[in-house]
Amino acid sequence: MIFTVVLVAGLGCAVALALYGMRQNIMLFHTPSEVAAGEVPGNRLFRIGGLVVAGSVIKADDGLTTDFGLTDLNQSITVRYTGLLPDLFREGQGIVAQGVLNEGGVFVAQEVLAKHDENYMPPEVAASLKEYRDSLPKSMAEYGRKAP
Amino acid sequence: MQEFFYMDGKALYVWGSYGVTLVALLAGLALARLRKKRILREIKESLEQ
Amino acid sequence: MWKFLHRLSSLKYFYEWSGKWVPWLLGLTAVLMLVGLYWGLLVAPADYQQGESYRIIYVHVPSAWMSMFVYVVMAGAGFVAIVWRTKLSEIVVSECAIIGATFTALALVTGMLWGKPTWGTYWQWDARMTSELILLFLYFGIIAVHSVIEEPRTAARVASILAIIGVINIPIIHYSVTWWSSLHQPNMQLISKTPSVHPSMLYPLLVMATAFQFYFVSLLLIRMRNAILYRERITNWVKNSLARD
Repeated sequence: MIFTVVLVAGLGCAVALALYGMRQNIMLFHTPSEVAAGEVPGNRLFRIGGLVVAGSVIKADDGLTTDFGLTDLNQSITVRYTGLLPDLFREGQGIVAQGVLNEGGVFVAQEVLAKHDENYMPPEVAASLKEYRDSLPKSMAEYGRKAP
Repeated sequence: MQEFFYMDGKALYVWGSYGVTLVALLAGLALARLRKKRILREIKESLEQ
Repeated sequence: MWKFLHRLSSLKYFYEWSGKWVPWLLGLTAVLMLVGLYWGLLVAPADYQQGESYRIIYVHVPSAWMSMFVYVVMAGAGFVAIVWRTKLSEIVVSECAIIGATFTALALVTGMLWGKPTWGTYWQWDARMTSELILLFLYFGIIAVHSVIEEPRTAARVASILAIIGVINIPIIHYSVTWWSSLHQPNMQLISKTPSVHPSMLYPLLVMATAFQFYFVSLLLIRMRNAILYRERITNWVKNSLARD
């Protein structure tokens, strides 16, 4: 019995310590703020996550390359990606991109994945919710966004 | 009806998920039934000896 | 009270009453499953972001919830097995492992099938997916202990200790999406005045989750009855009850 308790406690501590030590690696992506602060070493493949800035999506003439702004509502960064974007990619949507930062400060992505949130509703409800928010004065609409 | 099976073009993923789930759940029950038959047979044989 | 608990934990008594319950539980499972499938696939509306593919939620989320729930049941039984050494709880540990592994594998596979059309990838080593994969390996470990150690009571002790240690992974899975940045969505807010899932989609999800619960209890009882028959195959009560059939 005592042996069991000691074993459980010991392994628990070991796992907790290991997880604490690995904190940085368990994080799937870095934020644009971390990149702006220079916390992400350059010339290395890493993932960046954030929201696609509204009105920032620019398709190049080749029809395949897309430039868009990525923000964590604090800092933004330009992401360039050549290839087919996932269906859920749209303005305001959360995405995770993997790639490298070039000298110009543009994040050149090799892969772009779409995130989605924990909200599920029919299109009609989403539309009426948006209508309701748009009808509110701006300050209230902002408040409403925080508590959907 | 056709739209229902089409699932926005994601049919393979949606029906694949439902398929593996149902197969796994039914297989769980079927395997347990087979095991019971096997055990009963074993006991009966030992009784007859 | 203790006398009642003792009687309940006797294998013979358990075998008798569980036999009466199994058909009803299986029937209820089938009804709930059919209602849930009809509601989720045909009645519930499409999602405003994901369209039809979100319907994978009705098999993915119940599987994922069960993968964790079964583990907690197994670890609880493991605790009882170590402290009171009841045979019945040892059987719960060994039978839960296989059922739990199935739910975990289903959660992973349906999650991958959902991930490809929504995220754009089957797999990412994010905290949620990695910790759920670790859960599968924990189940495999417990199954392996039972098949490697031949003496069932020794196997049960080792498996129980492993099960209890592994419980630490359960809160890690749950909070993985809160503690670390991940590709997986955050946990759904269901117990709230404004749940993050619209009622028209939430109710079928709850029906499916209940159906999975009943499936688990049904299969657990069936598997435990098999295990009891096998363990007690040389006893008189088993031989007598067979002679009666």
